[in-house]
Amino acid sequence: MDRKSRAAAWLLIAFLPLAAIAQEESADRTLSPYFFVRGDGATEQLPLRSTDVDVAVAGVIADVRVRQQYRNDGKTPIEAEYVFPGSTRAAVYALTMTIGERKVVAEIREKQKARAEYDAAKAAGKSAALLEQQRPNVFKMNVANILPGDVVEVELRYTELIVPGGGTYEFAFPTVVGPRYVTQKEQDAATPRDAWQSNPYLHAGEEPTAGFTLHAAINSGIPIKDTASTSHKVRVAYRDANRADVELLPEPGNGPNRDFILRYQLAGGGIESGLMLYEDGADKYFLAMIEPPRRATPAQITARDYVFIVDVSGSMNGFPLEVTRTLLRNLLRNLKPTDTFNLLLFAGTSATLSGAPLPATPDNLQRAIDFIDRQQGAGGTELLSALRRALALPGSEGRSRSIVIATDGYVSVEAEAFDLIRENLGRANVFAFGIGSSVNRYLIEGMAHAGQGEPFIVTGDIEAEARAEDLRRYITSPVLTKTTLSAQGFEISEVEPPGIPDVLAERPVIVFGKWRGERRGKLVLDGLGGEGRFRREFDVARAPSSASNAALRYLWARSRIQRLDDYQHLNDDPERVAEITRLGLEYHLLTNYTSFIAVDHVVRNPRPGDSQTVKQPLPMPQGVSDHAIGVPMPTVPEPELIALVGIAGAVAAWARRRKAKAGAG
Amino acid sequence: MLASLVNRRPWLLVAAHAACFWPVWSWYVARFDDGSDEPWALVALLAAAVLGWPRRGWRLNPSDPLLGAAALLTALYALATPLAPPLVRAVLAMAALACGWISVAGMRAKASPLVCLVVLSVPLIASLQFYAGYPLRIATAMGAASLLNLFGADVVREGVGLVAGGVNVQVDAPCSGVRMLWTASVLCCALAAMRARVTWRALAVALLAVVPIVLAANILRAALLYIVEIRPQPLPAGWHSAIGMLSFALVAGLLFASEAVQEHWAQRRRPPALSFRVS
Repeated sequence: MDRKSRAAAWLLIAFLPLAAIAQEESADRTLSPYFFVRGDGATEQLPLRSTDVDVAVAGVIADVRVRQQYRNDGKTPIEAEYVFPGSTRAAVYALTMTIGERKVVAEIREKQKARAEYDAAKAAGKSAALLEQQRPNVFKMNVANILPGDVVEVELRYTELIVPGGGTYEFAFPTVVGPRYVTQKEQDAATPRDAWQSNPYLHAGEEPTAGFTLHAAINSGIPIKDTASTSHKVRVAYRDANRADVELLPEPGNGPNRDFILRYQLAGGGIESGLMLYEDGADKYFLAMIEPPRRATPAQITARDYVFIVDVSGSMNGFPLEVTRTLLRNLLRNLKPTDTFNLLLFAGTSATLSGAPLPATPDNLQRAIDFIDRQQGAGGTELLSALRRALALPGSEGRSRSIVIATDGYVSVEAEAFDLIRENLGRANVFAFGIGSSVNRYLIEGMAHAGQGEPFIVTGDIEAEARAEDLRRYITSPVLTKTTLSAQGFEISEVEPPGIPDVLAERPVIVFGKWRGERRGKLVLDGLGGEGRFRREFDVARAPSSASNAALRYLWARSRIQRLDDYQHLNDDPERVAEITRLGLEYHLLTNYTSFIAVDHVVRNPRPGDSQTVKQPLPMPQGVSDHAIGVPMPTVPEPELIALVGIAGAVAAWARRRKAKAGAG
Repeated sequence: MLASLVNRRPWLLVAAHAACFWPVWSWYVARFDDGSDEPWALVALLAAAVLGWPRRGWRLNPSDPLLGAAALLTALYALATPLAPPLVRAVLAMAALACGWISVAGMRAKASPLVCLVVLSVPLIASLQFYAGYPLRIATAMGAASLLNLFGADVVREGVGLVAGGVNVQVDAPCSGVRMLWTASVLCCALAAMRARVTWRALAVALLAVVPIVLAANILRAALLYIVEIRPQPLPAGWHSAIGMLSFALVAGLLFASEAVQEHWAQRRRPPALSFRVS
């Protein structure tokens, strides 16, 4: 054997154990959600006891403190694993773990390093907490070595910008991750650590097992009014004209099984717009929030071609599908007779109303309504194949296309969907409607972002009508186009976003950036509104700058990460991965590539091998039925073979007897 | 000496032939034992044994073409062993064994149904389900939707689903009719094997007729069960079996009637027996 052959042989031998390990890992790869089954009580199965949320809104910035309390009332040590949602705009910047009197402040680390530290601490019998990002709006908390009788409190903090829409400010706190549909392809490609979707769920209608409290303090520069929650029962107390306290009422049915949505307006219907600055030595950031001009009604409205893509999968069964029907009726009613449209319904497979665009005649609109009325909501959510089919549908000559998607977004192929839309968009815009009480906002916002459209969240029938009307207005007349930001005598850099997209909704233009030098000069926004040229100027010297604007650091970095990562597929772009990792480590932010890790250096569990991993069961989102996970469909099965053989045997025996008699006769 | 032994006890030849196929028997047992197929298929083998048991003792007739067929099939089995999947090898082996048995048992007049019965005893329901299941399900769903529409129900077929009023009833794999098809084929062969003489052509026609009969019964069964399933108050599970058994009883009745008709015609075509009048 020559040297090359010997080297090859050794290489082969070296890789054999790896191949064996790979085989072992791939053997157990179930990613799908499942129903929670109660055990014998020896092991704690419901470690999360409560989630307490404190929100402090100052102007347009919310600072949120989320305390999760874990407790082990079982007889064996456990590792708790809890998958929970967050706002898509949240910049998570801190984590602390408290066990008894000891408080451990978490460090930010590269994701793999953090995981390795956590695994090592777990194996050594030390208590530890690891916070990882699975999606920009889905996080996973692991708490290792919670001993019997232990109470462990983990506190995470994040900040986010509250962007008003149509003059209304909205703060949303998602409370539950809906059960995701996982395709076979994803299962095949997954490693056990990708299995965040594989969670136990309570049955529809079961009360959440963990407590939930929420307190929000709103503090605005302008008097506030009409403070209310559209999702939960709350008590609102105004301290003065500019400050309000909101408390979630501790009632049954007021729990964490849907997004908590808080809305308020400012006196006069305006918004807090302007320029905010933050400086700490050489570290200087700005935020410009510019109110767009009023929407103008164009004299002539051009005809368009619409493709409606509607999710009729199992998770849409019942209430979400009812809301979708109402939405679709409203959307169809808003079409003009010169418009054309088509309708594609999808679940495990998809079906179109027509092979070619249909004129929006009353008959065709009724056909579309009948088409969706026949659906009950069942099966998987094959979003990608439905999108492919919809994007390949023939268009209508001379008409620009608008693609309207209605779904709860309970899939985990977000990045693939964004890529697909981006690569096949052509001249179309995508408008995404999230239907339900706890939708996957990341998917909805991402599809609209990739499709240069707008996202909408529809939680009920009343909103369905309003959002359908919003879509009509957005499509007929954009608010602001050809928008540019320039600085005169004010040195700015690293502006986010680098280019300002067209503004369709009545929501402010938001620009973050860094600045250098003196506070002087002007920041100017130019654009084209419905009534002609639009220009806003901000005098930098008069802009407020205070230490309370420190959140601008996080928000700038989060905005940059959002552009680089949230709506991209990064697998093959090491430079961008490195940039996001750097931003995460430098700004102490949770990202797809950086995690928070807190380790208590006391060895508390002498037998860590006995510890059981317990996944916290999640409540089914309000209005979502058990069909989201799987309810057997009615079928028409044949009888068992034994019954058929019995009948055949009886007939054969009778025939033989008859023949025997005939022969004897 | 061996020739003399075989001449005196021809069943030894059948036993030795069967022993040669030990890999097939072992696969046979494993397949029925691991739950991948229906052990009730062995009923076909039992039926073949009962209906093909020699009435006038075992006889070896070296000039019988069936022995030649058995030898040819055995050779094919040997050649196929390294190449063909176990199911194909089992079909060849069982057909070869059946030919040898029938020749030695003196049952040549009913060779076709007996060979078919033995072949049907091979564990092939799962394979039938794999290859023919989906087309049968589509055909059943189409037929059931048309039948229901004929009676005024507004049912739409979507894939293998029957959809109306937001309710989707699936014609899934256990609803395909493959079990009914297999059992009806076994019954058809068993009824044919009770006749004095059956040609290969007559059996082929009878077996081909089994397919539309079973399909029609399965469509009827699916349509009736659809009506049961869309009721607001579901009926007990026993209703499913009852309707299924009733549908199959219809199939069995039709096969029995068809067999009676065929036998009647066969008797009419047969030349009358010679009669002598002694004066």
